[in-house]
Amino acid sequence: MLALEKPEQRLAVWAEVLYLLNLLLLPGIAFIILFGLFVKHRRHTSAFVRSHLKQTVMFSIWAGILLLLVSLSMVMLGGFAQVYTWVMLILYFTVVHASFVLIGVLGLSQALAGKIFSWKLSSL
Amino acid sequence: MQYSSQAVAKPYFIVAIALFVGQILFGLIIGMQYVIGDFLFPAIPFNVARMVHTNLLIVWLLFGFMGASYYLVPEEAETELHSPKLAWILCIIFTVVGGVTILGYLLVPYATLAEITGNHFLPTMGREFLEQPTMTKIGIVIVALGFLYNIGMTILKGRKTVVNMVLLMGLVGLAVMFLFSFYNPSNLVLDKYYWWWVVHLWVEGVWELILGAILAFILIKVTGVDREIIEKWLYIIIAMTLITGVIGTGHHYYWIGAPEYWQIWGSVFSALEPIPFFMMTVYAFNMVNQRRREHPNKPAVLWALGTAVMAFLGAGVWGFLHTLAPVNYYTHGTQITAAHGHMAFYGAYVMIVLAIISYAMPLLRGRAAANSEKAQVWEMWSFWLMTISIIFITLFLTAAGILQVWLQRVSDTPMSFMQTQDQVMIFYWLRELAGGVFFIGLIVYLISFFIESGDSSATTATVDVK
Ligand code: HEM
Ligand code: HEM
Ligand SMILES: [Fe+2]
Repeated sequence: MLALEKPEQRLAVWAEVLYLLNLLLLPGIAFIILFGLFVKHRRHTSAFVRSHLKQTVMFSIWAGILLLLVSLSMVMLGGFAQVYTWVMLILYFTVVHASFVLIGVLGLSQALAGKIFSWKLSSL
Repeated sequence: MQYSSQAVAKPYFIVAIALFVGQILFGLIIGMQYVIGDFLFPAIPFNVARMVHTNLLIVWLLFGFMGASYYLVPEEAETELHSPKLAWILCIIFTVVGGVTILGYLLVPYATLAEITGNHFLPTMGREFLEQPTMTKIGIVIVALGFLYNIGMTILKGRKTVVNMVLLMGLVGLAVMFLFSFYNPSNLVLDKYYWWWVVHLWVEGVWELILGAILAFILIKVTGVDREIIEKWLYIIIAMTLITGVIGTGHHYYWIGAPEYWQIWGSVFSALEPIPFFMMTVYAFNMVNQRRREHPNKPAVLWALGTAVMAFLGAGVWGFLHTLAPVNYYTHGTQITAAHGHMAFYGAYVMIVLAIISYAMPLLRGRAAANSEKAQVWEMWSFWLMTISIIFITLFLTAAGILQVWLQRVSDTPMSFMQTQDQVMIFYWLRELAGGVFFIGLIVYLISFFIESGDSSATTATVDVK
């Protein structure tokens, strides 16, 4: 399970872990490290590594836009002291944030299994 | 089905599903009473219907856990059940005790029920989720002891797997924690303090072990991944559960009169409680990614994955939402709590029971590995209908909760409780609507059992992928 002998796999798993850390524990800091990893390895010979690096960086940027910019504009447009701003904001943030985390779980589970990132989990 | 004694799981599953239908019907009744106050007045008062809704939930989940145990313990232990006869007798006793109790709730006023069941000899009634007459509680303990004896003897004489040991730990814990329902101090602080030892230490402690064990069993069966790998994950998950969940009980001690340090301990440890749920999703996804075979029972895989995701959302995300003391100061006892309660109970425990039923029932009914294609399609429809409805129920209740907190507790000119309820009425209507769709999903689920297994292709044994 956690015996990641191959350096490729270690890279892919790290990318996914950093993506999740950015969302859950160290926003910003984890992204900078992830981005460094991406810049260094973006031309990696393994398509598996490239797919996880690209997916995590892209989704981190989208998460930043959707979670920070959209939330901020909701407060600006709706007004800070308005009850419906908070109803919408909390619902929106919780749902979108949880969705990005679940994408990370999907990616991590595929990195751990040595698979290229894909939306498809099984033959369901 | 490898051992004929596993067959006793079937009546447990059937009773579980029947009570599930009752639970949802009463959920719809109280949902309607939220918006039309005198709906069914005076025949079924809100407090009674709510009690029926929640007690049926607990009881059918217990039936589900017992059925799951009778099914998987012999298979894991590689031996017949110690006594199928005892299992049958206990099933009948539990059904009768449960049925009579529900009838008691519905037919006589609660105070009268307390009186005629001799509550004054050993008062245990009148507390949320533990409303059962003392006699019923004693009945539950007898059933639980007989059940544990039966399961324990089976495990003792057979192969001792990690899945069986974790399951047994969970089941023993379930019975032991229930004993605190007999302790009912007149000091309200103490009462609440120990009440949570049943409620919290069940759902965020020992039940999670049961959940983990059942999920591991299903994953071993449907993915064909090596047992050792799945067992390693299971160990880490239950360790994290207990490390975070036991002291995490403190998130219920903030405002009940317990010492103030619980605000720190409760916040810190319960904030870590999502970790085991998070790991469960990673592990379930990971195992499905590494699967060695394509199991023909697709709904079982779907329910198993759904459990991991929805438990993470309901318990992990919606639990975290209101678990820190400064947040809980505002949200305590609002619709936010109800939102979380619905998604967590559904995501973790309803879904794991439906997952094991989905996996085991075709085998119990003598099919080779799965139901017909058509029956599977119906079952998967029911999965999506019920799951999406519970998500909407949760979102509507969360919206109601945020509004409620704002109007009633944050505002400079706070409204009264009832004034606030009027303001959030629209969300209660929407919740009831989503509840109706949930009920349709449940009907579709029931129908899926009666779809003829016409084609035999889907019902034959597993196919290897690689
Ligand atoms: C499957 C697991 C879980 C289930 C079934 C569950 C269910 C419930 C239910 C039914 C209640 C309401 C109890 C009442 O009547 O007062 C509740 C309350 C609560 N739960 Fe959970 N829960 C679970 C996991 C979690 C987790 C992991 C957390 C924290 C991260 C959490 C945090 C809370 C908090 C803070 C409350 C108190 C709400 C208040 O102050 O009103 N729960 N839970
Ligand atoms: C599987 C599905 C369901 C589960 C697991 C479930 C579970 C629960 C639980 C644990 C509570 C107690 C909540 C608390 O005290 O915080 C509760 C209360 C309630 N449930 Fe459900 N429920 C389900 C479906 C439904 C449906 C379909 C409806 C109606 C549309 C419904 C309506 C209600 C209402 C109105 C209450 C009372 C809330 C209150 O007293 O404030 N439930 N349910
Ligand atoms: Fe709790």
